[in-house]
Amino acid sequence: MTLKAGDAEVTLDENSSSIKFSGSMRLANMKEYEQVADFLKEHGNTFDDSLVLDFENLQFLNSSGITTISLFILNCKKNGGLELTVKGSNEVSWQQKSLSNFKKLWPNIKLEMN
Amino acid sequence: MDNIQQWDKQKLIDEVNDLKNLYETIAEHSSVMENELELKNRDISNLINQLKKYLSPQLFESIVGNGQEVTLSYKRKFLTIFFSDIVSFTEISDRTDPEVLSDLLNGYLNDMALIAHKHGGTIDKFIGDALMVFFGDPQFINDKQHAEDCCAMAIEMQVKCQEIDKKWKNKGIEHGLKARMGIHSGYCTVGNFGSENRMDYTIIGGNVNIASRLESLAKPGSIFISSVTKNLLSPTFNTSFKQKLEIRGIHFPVEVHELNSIGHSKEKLLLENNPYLQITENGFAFKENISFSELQSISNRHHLTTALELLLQKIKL
Repeated sequence: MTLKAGDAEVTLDENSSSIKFSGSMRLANMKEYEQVADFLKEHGNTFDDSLVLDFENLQFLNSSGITTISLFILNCKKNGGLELTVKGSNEVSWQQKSLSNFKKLWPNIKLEMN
Repeated sequence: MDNIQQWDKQKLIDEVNDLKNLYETIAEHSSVMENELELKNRDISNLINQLKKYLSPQLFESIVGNGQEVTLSYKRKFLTIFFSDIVSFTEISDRTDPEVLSDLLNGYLNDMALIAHKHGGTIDKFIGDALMVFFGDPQFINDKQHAEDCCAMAIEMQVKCQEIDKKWKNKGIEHGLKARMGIHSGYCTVGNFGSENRMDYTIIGGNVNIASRLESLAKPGSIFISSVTKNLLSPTFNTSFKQKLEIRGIHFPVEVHELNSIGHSKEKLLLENNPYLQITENGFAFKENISFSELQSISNRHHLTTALELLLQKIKL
């Protein structure tokens, strides 16, 4: 299942128990990001106790985008019971700094940078 | 009760911490993006500055200024075309050390390019020692202005060539520098030619060939122009008829004139400095907003006398 969000795509990959982000995510505001937030909310619990958020192929994420992802992570933390892994790439400059900040939001997150 | 309050307090502290972390995450992410944007902007500025060296200011503005995509397209337009090259350059090349020659040639072409830019010409290309410039695209004023700007440019270039000639002779170039120049005006096809990935902004057509032919016909140090260009010039440009020229592919003989100089007549200078007169298509006229009472109170009697004298001369003519 894939959500088309402007120049980006969010795909639910059941084989790897992950939600994969790709392209360039630059929706205009939080209102437009509601579709992404709903997608995450709906499919975040698909794999029972574990989930991988894979950003390796996401070249750009704007401020509203990082807010949407961060709120999803805080929600996972609040609900508990989910092992969350964040995958990123050192080749993409925004990921180097911002993905490690997710650990501040929820220290239990497992971070994998390739 | 105390435990419940303690639990609520802890929950509140956790929420505040989450908000703080959320704020920091967003702020730092924004900083990363802003810094990256700044670096990319710097890269783009550097690239644009490099690009500037290869394009005429008009063309640069046309591509970079309005951000339009450059595509393979062309149009017919009336232009004034200029060609120049150095007399006996092959011989000069054979006799001169390549490093010295490169410096001299680049110095010469740079001086010519500066003059072309000053007069609003679009440098089409450098072909070895030759230079091709045109007027009328992408910036369009009017046909007369393009012809006059082109001729004024050529005259200034020849003056500069005399200066460079002395320098070259001082550096041991026996021939010195003498350039031939040719100018013609007419309809050309102007636009981007080539492939989608590699295109040149240039002009093509029979009129381009005529300008080139006039250049090759010109005597060393002279400027040959066609009658089409000559007819667009104001009388301040001094020209002399040279010959009629048969050009292959052109079904009529082309009248060739030599462009000698621009004469700034006493009349023109006086007109330019006189606050009571304005230059018109037919010569000059009193400025429309000057009333009779103002004329009577003009304090600068010299300007008024000059204006009236010129007016009187015109009436007599």
